[in-house]
Amino acid sequence: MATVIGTGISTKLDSFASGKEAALSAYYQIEKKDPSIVITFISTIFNQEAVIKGIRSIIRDAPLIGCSSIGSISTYGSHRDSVAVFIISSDSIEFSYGIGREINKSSRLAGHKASKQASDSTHSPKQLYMMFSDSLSGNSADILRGAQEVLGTSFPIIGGGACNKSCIEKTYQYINGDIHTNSVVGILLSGDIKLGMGQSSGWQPIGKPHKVTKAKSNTIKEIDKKIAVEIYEDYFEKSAEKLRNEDICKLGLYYPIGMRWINKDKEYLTRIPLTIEENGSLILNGDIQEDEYISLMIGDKDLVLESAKKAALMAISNSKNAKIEFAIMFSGISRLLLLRKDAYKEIDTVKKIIGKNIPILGCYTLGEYAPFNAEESKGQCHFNNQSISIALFSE
Amino acid sequence: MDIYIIISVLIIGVLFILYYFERNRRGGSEKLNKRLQDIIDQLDSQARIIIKTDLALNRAQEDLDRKITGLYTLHELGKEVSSTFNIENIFSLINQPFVLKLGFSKLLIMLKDNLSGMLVTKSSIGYSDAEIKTIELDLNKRKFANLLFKKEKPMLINRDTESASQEYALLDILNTESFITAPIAVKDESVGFILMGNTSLYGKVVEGDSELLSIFANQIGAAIENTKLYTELFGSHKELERRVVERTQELEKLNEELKNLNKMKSDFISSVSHELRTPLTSIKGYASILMTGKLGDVLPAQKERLEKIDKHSNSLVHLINNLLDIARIESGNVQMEMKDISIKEMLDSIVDIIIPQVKEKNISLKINSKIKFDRIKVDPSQMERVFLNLLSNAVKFTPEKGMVIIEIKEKNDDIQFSIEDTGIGIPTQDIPKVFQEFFRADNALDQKIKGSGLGLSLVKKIIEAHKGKIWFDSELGKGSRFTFTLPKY
Repeated sequence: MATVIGTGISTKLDSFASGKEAALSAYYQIEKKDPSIVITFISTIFNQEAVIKGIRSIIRDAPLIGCSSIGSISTYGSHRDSVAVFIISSDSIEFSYGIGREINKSSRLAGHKASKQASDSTHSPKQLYMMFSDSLSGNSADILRGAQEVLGTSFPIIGGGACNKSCIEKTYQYINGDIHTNSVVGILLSGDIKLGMGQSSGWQPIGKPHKVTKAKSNTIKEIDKKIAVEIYEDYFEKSAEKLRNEDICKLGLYYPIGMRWINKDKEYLTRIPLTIEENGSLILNGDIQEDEYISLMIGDKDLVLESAKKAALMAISNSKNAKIEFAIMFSGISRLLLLRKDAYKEIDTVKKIIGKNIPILGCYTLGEYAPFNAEESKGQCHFNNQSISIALFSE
Repeated sequence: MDIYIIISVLIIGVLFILYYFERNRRGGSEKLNKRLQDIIDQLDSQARIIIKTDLALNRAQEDLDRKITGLYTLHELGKEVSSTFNIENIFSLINQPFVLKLGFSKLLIMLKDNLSGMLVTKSSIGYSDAEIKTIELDLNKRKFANLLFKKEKPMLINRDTESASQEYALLDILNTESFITAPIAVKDESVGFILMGNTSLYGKVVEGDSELLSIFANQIGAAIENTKLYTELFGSHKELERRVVERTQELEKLNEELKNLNKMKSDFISSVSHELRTPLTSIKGYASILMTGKLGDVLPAQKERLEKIDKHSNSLVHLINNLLDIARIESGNVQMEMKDISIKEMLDSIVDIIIPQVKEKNISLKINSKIKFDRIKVDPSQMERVFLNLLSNAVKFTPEKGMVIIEIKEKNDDIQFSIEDTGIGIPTQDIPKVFQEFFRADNALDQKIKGSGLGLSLVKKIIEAHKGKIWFDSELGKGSRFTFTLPKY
């Protein structure tokens, strides 16, 4: 039997019916085989509980994991305001999962706990860890460090931050039908499978570089010896109060802060400002180092599509000509906002490279976990934003 | 000593020259750095312009996307609205996903109650039941109706821009940071309002939302009007249906009674006819015996009377037989013995029978046949009665030197026969009664011509038993044409 994936997407504006429709469609696609795991991405326009009930009405007690998202990514394209249900039935991949709560208190500990729980439940060779975390609380880079403490620094990790329509609304993480917030959930894929991964961003610096003169963890206090928020005040000609009122995060989705990554491809790691502190410090969704040179970043449709191509080619190259069975793909919410109606082009670009009939499962995330500039799929994973990350599976 | 002085002077000189060159170099580097810094600052300024333009473009795109999504969502609702006539069903479609997809977090639809005139909540999203109760109380108590649905245009209220006390109070009552309302109008009369709002500072309601809300309010207004019309129409339809059912039941009852009466009549005729036929046979038998003279000589005057008895007995037997046949056909007791025959042969034999009467009145009889296939499946003896009846009527009622035409043609799946005469015709008032039993048309000629009034009734029964139809056209003083159809072979 190997591995089969059923994909169900519903945009019905009735929460229960939408969950049921998506699950039923996925279940029929795998010809009603026993699900090994069910992965779901649900838009926050829906009543989360009702959707899960709708899905459960079809899949019963099968393990269910996932997160809220602005939209889903699948072989059928990009769907905003949707319920996406992916049912995987496999006799070659073992799925184990875990959860870490209260990431606002200790992101690292939460990341550690989730991956430990997943790791302890399997005895097969571990291949890939996929995790979804609350993108609005805690430090996502710390969550990743927590997972790496358990799985190893070079262990392949993919996933991202659960998101809502705006940066101030709650995000949700699901595990076995329970809906959580301020948490991280993870699935560990083990067994005799081969993996090829790729990642790229496409956002480019604009304006002169600035030096982070005072920072701690994910808070920048000073840039160029000036209050951090001034960087946005200067470029957007808006006061800190106005930036605060207009949602700095929304602005940051288009214009994040980027750190130069020393490599041949001139890639940048980006961070999104989530809030502005009273003293003008910027709270980012990932950490940043003092003395680091940073730039304001800007995106472009062509560069985004080019980066999708680059990530897919990298993943294919890392798969070493193996027959691809299915793909996991996460794309930054910023990319969706930039591409808008052309969001399907990003998926089409990937499909052209990996094969148009390969099942794809994924969603749009606020921050992505992936091996940065991975080679041989064993590169160290980092937390990035505005990026696309792809994992290709072959058996 | 001098050498030391010279060396010292030389060293000082060299140092001075070195100092001079270093000072010049530093000056040049600073100039270069300054130039570079100027270029960087210049590029940074250009970057600001690019960012500003890019941001404006993104915002415009966002607004456009929001409008497109809103219109698409309303279009989807519109499809549902047009397929249902139950307003409660429409309100049930306005759920949380619908409101969030339109870009709002709160929704309130209130309609004025027809009897009490109070505002009643029909749909709400983002409010608890307790909140709705409070809102209803506040809005009804403080007479906000004028403000909420007497305005022609949507009303937009934002906490940070609003200062008027009444509007500001609404923000508190409705527990929102910004909202927009539009009146729901049915036939140009405001019957309620729709309110959509956001609690978040970041998702403020904007002026562009008014178009969307107006469309939404119009949809709801049209739905209410359609539902009202449909309910009225449905009510009248139901009443009409009820009346039709009532009348149908009455008619069925009457029809049943008529059937019973008809059966009683047929049974009565049948039984009376049987009772009459037995003594009649005896009378006829005895009259015949008497006429033979076997029981004694019969005087010419007696013979004449006996012949009259025989003749009238025959008429009576004929009448009784016709009556019995009608009763039998009606009750379904007579089965048609269908046989495949030639139409031409059938007509020839009938004409042979009728020809003496035709010749006697010097009437011209014509047969006009337009059929290609000369076969038909009928009960020959019954069909003979049909033709004899119709032809003898035609001959009877046609004055001397008149004309009778038999026409045969194919019509769709039938063969159509018609017997046309140049006779006296049938008066208009008698037309509906022609096929009734014992009916005889009221005219001078008719009075002279003898008949039972059963012939045409029997003809109709026989044709109907053959799954055919009969009708006629007639013009008083000009003639009649009886037409009947029989299914093709």
